[in-house]
Amino acid sequence: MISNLAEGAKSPRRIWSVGGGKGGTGKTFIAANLGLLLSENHLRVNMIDADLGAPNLHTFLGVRKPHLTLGDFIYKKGGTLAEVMSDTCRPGLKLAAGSNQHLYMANLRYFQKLKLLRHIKKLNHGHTIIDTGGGIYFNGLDFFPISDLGVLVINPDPASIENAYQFLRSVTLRILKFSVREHEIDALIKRTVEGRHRVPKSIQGLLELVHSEDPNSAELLVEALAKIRPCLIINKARREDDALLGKSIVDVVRKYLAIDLRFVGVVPYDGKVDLSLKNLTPYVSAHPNSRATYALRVVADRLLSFESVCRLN
Amino acid sequence: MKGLNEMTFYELLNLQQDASPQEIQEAYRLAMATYQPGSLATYTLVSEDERQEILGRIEEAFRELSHPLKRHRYDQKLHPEKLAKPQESCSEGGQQQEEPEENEYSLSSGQYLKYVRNMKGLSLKRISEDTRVSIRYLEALEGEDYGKLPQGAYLGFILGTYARALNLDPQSVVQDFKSRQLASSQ
Repeated sequence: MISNLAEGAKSPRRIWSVGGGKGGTGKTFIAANLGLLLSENHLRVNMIDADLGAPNLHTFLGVRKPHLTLGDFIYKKGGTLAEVMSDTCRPGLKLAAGSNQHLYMANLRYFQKLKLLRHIKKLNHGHTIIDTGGGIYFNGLDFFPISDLGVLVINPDPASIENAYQFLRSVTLRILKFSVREHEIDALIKRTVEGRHRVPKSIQGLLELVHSEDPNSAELLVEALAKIRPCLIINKARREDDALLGKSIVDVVRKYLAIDLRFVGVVPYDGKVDLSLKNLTPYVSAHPNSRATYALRVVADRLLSFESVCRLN
Repeated sequence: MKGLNEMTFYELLNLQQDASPQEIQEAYRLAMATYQPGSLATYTLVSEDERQEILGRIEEAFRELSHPLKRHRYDQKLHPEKLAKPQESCSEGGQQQEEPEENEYSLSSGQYLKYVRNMKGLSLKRISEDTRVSIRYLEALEGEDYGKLPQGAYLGFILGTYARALNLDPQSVVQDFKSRQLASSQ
């Protein structure tokens, strides 16, 4: 089970998952450039393109055509993830590229997903950054429970924010579901929800319902919830007050979703991102002194500095 | 994670209990911007009823925490074992603002209305523009120069309009004024 994969991790490596509900917010851009900046500090970084349906992390890293991909790993018996890691423009920065060649990569079977998750955890060097792609499909969400940091990338617009809230609910419920199974209170949840003939509108509502049936079980869920501390990045910001928007979102999520979201920073919009992509030149390499690169450095430093790295389980 | 109704005013505004008046003011403004109608942060997550509820709680929190005496009493209720000294008050510009005296604590007193206006960072000009009440009348209310104001029901209307602009309960403010007028005439 996915929840079992979190057990026994003793190595110092850290896993970051970069995701969010909506496509096009810049998750891959953020993931790629965080990896580049970490490798600048001589950290060993493994990049995983887990956007299984539409992989393009390699493009943002300036790797035109990866020799081997995740498809080779998934469909090959007995291989390791390390064997399909490609070199990039930076020493110490390796890439497990997504596959456009294997037809069924977007819809991995459960045991294939478990294989991938298991091998990601076995990568025991430095940082592993996973670009999980958009949407709230289980194949994307399930990288978060094995991660030390979950990073949510949004844009300052209503559509992105709406999808972000749905993403946060989904990933939290997914993680709580594993906790529920682990503590054998899934029957209680089912009885509570079905018995009341209504689905709680919020996670807080779910906790209150469970508490009314069994306070001890509610306490277990609260403990599991307290470990979920995703990080928020606002990308493609164009206004000064987008930083205030980040603080507002943190407050709303805390009060209405009972999730301790951490606002990490704002990355300003830069039209040169598209140009560097067309040129297959990694953005922070092409524009080391831009405002966006400066902001990305600040974000990277903040993510690194979180003292109590929360294992999302 | 506490529900909204279980949160203290400090928790509601994301403040530490030793927050300065400036921090309270900034927290209040951020909270109002977060939950105002049309706010991006609340899009699809907060219903209109929930918005009204939390805005009411935020206003209540600000009223209690921005007034030193009220805050002192509130802190005592939270932690009766501690007898904290009332905090100093401060207006937006960082200058020391004259605190309402104990006997001028009443809701409709000019000094209190001016105090609340300054704590919210609002100018008389801005309130006049929003409410269409003449600045002269607003100045007269704050100066308690009631001779310069229309009398009777219209005065009550002006006072209630000003109170609403400060997010105070207009009925309470007008009722307080009437009580003070009655007391002073006896």
